[in-house]
Amino acid sequence: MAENEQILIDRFCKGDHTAFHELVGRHKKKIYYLAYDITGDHHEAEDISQEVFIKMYRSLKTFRRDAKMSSWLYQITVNASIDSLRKKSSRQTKQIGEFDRLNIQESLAASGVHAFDPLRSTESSQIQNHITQALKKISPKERTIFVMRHYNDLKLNEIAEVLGITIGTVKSLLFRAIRKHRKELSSYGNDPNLEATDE
Amino acid sequence: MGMIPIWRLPMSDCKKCKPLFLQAFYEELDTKQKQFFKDHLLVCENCRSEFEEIKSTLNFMSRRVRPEPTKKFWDSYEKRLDQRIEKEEASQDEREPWRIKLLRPFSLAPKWTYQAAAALVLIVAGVFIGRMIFSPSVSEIKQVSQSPGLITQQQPQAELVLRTQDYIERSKLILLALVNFDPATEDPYALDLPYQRRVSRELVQEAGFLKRELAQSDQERLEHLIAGLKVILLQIANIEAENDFEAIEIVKEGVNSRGILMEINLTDLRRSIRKGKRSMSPDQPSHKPQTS
Repeated sequence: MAENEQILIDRFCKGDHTAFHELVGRHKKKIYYLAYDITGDHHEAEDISQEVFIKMYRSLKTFRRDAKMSSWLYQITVNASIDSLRKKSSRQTKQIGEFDRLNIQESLAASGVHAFDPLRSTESSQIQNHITQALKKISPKERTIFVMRHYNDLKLNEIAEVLGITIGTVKSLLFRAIRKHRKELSSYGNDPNLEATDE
Repeated sequence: MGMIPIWRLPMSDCKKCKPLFLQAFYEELDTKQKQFFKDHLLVCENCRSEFEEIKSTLNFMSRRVRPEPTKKFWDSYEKRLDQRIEKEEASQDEREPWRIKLLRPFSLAPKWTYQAAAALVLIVAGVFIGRMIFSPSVSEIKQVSQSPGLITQQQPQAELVLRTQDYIERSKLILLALVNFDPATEDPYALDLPYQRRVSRELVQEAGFLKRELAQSDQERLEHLIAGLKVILLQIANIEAENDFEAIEIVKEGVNSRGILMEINLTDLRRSIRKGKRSMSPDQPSHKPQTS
């Protein structure tokens, strides 16, 4: 754990609530984005991220000093997000947020979140839909690993640590996710090779 | 660098290269791995092609647009979080079962106090259950107290008292018959003096045995009464003629002077009082002889 994080925890344990806010401020975006990437729903992501920080608030005094806080927070986030997906799946509700483009635009509009960067607003909505569908088609665990590596910049060994699995398993699941993406994108008539050259 | 035909490449290099695809794309290879990977792709068309496919798929997936929450959303994030924490803590207090609320003041007590209290409760419960299961009931106690053995032990005493009472009653009848006899107004034949004499003789004989038994059982009062009665009854037994009114008067005077009837009445009164006390305490064993 970073030394200054340790200082913040000590301050919190002494009753300094601002230390808690500082810790939240450091991690809130990463936690929200990860929850959002897994669930694809803004409200769900906010709810999960707050749940994570409430858990942190309650167990900060007993937090192991040698543990890495971000890994611990990611772990809680992943578990809560997968739980959320399962609950949604069991209720057979509509598909999650970003994976349903219209939903996300509505929800973001309602919550004051702007859905798209103006520069990117010209991006083909068709491409976004295809990506959404590709993410929908993979399992929650594959999706979790994929978004952790691809959209949240967690290294393979960090993912392995957070999920408590080996790097080999992480790579295997990631490969499987990529193969499914490729297959899914091909079925929509996209040629990733050509599209990729635009980047 | 020219392409090398695939059949001339060692297969082990491809096996080493493929697991590095993801790390290569995400730039997680160390220098040595990076060099090996680069060199291998230059010479291996299969691996290069496969890596290009992965790369293009991942690049395509990178086109995903993640909506960005507004600054306002982030600025008020901690405030909303604090509100939620407060709300959850409040609702947790409300949801807390009444048992926990009730026991909360005791939660500060040290652990040993719970253990001691639990042990005490167990002991009390054990004693209670033991008494309930193994102790005899009230009716059993009654039965035991009224058991034949005990009665047998106290029976001679009771029997003596019973016989004494019977004796007194019979003597009383004889005395009353004489005391209440008025020669001026009553027919001497109505007194049936021969019968009175005969019974009196029997009673005098009986008095000897009874006195001895009462003396042995320390019944002094009754012994004294029986002795007095014996004297009077002896006088009655010795009346010779039915019209011996003088002898009858002597007996009357003897009864009055000795206060025999009053003593008999007192004995009856004491017996009644004892009887009343016993009837008030039904659980007490009753050894009182049943007088007729």
